[in-house]
Amino acid sequence: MKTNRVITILFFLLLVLIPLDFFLIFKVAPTEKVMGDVQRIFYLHVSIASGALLAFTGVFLSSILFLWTKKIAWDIAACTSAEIGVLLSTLVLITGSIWARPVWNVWWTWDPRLLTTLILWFIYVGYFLLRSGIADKFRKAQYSAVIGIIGFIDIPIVRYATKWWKSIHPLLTQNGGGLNPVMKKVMLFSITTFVVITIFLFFFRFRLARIEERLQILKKKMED
Amino acid sequence: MENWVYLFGAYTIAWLGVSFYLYINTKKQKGIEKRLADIEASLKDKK
Repeated sequence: MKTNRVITILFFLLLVLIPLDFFLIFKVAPTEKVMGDVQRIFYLHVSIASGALLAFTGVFLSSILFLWTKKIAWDIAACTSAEIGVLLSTLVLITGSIWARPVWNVWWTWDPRLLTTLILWFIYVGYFLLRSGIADKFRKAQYSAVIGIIGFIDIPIVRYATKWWKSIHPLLTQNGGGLNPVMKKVMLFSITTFVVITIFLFFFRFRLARIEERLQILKKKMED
Repeated sequence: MENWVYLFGAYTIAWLGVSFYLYINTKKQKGIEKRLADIEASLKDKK
């Protein structure tokens, strides 16, 4: 019941945030001098990446809490977050590639930021492959919690890849990343919108996962 | 002008991706809720 209320509140909040975000990106944010309009992909790309980061942080925390409490609800939360993380990181890779084509003249390059993001994507796809291969519910939860925790090590590597290695990936954190104050505000608003979208997706999927769990219990009851 | 194709493509793919995810899960939820109702009804009948 509480989950339903949170989903409804977030849904109505997004009905305001999403159109406003589009308005700010396409009408308020100035056109970048070198890249032109294609730079506007960045507002989307960075925001989705923030959402993915939040989702993978959710996997990490839920996995720790599962191993600590042994409550299956934390495994459901971790799995839900991982699913959203994979969805968003897939979109990060796709939107980044679309941006790279006109700016770098290639769809893909083996840049440290891109490579570490791709590794992150493979880790969490592996998380689901592992889950599909184990039948026992508790063992599945235990093993995937370990992967969820280990996989999180890649997050700071993705974050600092541009600092640690030679990279051509644009930096948003150093000297404002070439963004003027209006662009920065639009970027922050866009990130906020995608953080809300990620939380909304989490609760939406979590509710479904709980219903699935209930169905499994009832099925077992029927068999008995 | 050509850059608009990339801009439009990136936004379309991202929003279609999120919308498709929501659509698939909504469909899945409806199916599960129907099955749950069926099972609960048959459990009641058994009693």
